[in-house]
Amino acid sequence: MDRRVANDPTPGLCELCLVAAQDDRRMCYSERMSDHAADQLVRMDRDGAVVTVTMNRPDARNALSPALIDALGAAIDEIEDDPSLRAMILAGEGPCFCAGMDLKGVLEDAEAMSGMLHGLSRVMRRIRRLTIPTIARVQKAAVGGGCGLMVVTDFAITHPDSKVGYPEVSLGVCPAVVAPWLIRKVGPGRARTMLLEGGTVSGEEGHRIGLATHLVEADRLDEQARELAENLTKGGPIATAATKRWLNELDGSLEDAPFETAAAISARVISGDEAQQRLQRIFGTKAGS
Amino acid sequence: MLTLDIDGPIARITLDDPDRRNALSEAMFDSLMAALDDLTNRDDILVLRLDGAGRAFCAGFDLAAAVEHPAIMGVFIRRLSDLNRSLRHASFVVIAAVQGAALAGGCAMVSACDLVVASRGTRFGYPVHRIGVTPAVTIATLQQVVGSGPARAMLMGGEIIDGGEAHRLGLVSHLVDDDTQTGPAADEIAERIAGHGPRALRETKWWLNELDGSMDDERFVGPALASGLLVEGDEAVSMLADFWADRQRANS
Repeated sequence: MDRRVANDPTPGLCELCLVAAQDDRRMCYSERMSDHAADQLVRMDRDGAVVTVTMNRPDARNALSPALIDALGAAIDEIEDDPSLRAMILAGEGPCFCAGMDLKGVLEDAEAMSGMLHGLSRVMRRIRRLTIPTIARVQKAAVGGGCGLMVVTDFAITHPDSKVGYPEVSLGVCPAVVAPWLIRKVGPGRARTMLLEGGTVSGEEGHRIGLATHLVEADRLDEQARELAENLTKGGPIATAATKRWLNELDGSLEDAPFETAAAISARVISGDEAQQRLQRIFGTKAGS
Repeated sequence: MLTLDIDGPIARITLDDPDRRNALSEAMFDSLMAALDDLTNRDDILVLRLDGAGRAFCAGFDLAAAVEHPAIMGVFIRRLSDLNRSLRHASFVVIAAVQGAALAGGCAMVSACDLVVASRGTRFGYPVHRIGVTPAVTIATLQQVVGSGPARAMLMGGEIIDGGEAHRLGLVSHLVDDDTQTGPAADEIAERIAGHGPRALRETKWWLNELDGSMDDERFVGPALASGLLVEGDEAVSMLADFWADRQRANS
């Protein structure tokens, strides 16, 4: 398992952490928890047996950079090592849950792009295989890889006017990494429609097709997530873990090969001319606007 | 039997035998497969929009022909299986714009399309148990689209459902209020998809096919062979003859 430490110069991850992380990632992590709460790429807040893991790049709408993906991996390490935890809420700081992969930073570096896709693929599998129930708390937008996080968790809560979906194909990008998880969540037919049509749908439609398990008004999102998490902590941890394990076994979530293939397909397509031209056009426009 | 129009990356096929509610006859299968072959051999098509002229999208097999030559039913089933496999394996995205009704073989064809637009009043279903035929040929695709539980109910019961219910189950991906909106909605979706990255679209469809078993030929061939063998049996032959006689009496 790849547990590389975040080592790219993403703003928000302090140098101290990077240095410390070379030696002892966990120590570094706890230090970040106590001393640099605002600067961390991923924040962990414990409330009894519930841990909230918050992606913390609000200025980038929590776009999944290699460093953020690694930081999520480090958070999963902690959760795996802490038997007192009974439920996890995955959240995004700021107005949006997650805008998807941070493609801009690695656009011209095929190797970094491939590494990021494989990294996301691994982190998604690790979230899926956590023995405790997981809840995505989705405000405003879960797009592309962000919507991938929404479907890999056991529960997803959003509000009627959020935007969820996979606009990858319009960018010339193949959403191969999220496809197997979306199929497990909404079934192959609906996954086919969503991925081939591209774009996003409303949270309400997302709830109708099973992408979100719970739908509440935006101002009740946090409350509902905590209520659900609190309720989940009341289950027997052994029975809960066994149920989740069996569901994972039955739907193929414990395999690795299809998910590795998925990352390889996404990496191949994204490094091609079509994707490169479309992405350059978009990022060029954005930079100039 | 049908019209084929190509406008840039969008191809449009309209089943055009409205007097027989676009029944899947030998001639219809010939035309459809020829048109699909043409499109498959081109590399500039991204979307196929499929609809039917007249009151119904497609009412299923040409039963008049089957009454006359019972053996032809087995041929129809195998050809439908091939047609569905071609729609699934096509490198372009297939959108069905379904007006009126898609029944039996027509519903099976719809289940193989990537996206399906229909109105609330459109009728779907497999009312074939009355003619001693199994709708197994659709299982490969229907099960993917609506899930195993609902597929079981639809195929065993032969019940006709409306567009609203088909949308709830997932057979219809895009629901509109009435039939006049079906075509325009399908056009809009086709145009949007035609703007996507061609390579990304093809790879995505291929990967979805890999993941959901659509590349597994056995899923298509097995049920078609099994049900093809049944239709020449006494049960099917006599039930179809009785059904047809009843229908002729009702229509006279």
